[in-house]
Amino acid sequence: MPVSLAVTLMLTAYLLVMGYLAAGLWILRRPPEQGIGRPVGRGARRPGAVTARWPGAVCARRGWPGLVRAVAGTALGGYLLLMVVLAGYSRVVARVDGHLLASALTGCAALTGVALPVFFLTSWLTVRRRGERRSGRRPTRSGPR
Amino acid sequence: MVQHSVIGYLVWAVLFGALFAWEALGLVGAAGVPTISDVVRAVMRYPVGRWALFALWLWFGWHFFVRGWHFLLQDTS
Repeated sequence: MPVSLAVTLMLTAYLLVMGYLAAGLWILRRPPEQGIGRPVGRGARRPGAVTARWPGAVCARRGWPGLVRAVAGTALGGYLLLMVVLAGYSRVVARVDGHLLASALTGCAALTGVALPVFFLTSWLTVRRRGERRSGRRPTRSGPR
Repeated sequence: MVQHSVIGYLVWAVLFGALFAWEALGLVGAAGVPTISDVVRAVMRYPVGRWALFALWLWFGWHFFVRGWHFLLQDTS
């Protein structure tokens, strides 16, 4: 791999990861706002619902439709985002033929298809256990955070 | 197979050690030290944050386990 390409790749990856972490830190340190959404904290979340401060950012539906929408939306959004990034990389940065993109399209689709049922099942189990803890049917597990 | 110097591996060991040490500080509740989970959880409140994390996870799996294979995970060779 040429040095310039390696440096560009690593620098871009570093900036993306740092940007992601910086966004998380900024959100954590931001004072809770009044109005749009409730302050997010461990005890403030309802089972099956996801809240956010930005209007329309996250669905607040409950039950099966909300869970399916959250899981499928995350998988689809993540897949499309990755395809956009890889298309840009293969055409603009690396300038390789279409095999890389074809491999990414099919390989990631296969991975998503394999992981989606597991993702759905674990999401459902997590929400269900959270709901049972809040209703008092199960003892809470104490531990770090 | 390319031979790498031991120093190269030691540098990686130090970097990962620092990463895990920082995470341990966050887990024991050291003042002002968020864990990676805290940071990621904050970003995952928003759809774009979840898409980015899923995309990263998907890329990781494709790059290390699937890339170079043909569709339906078959190696034609």
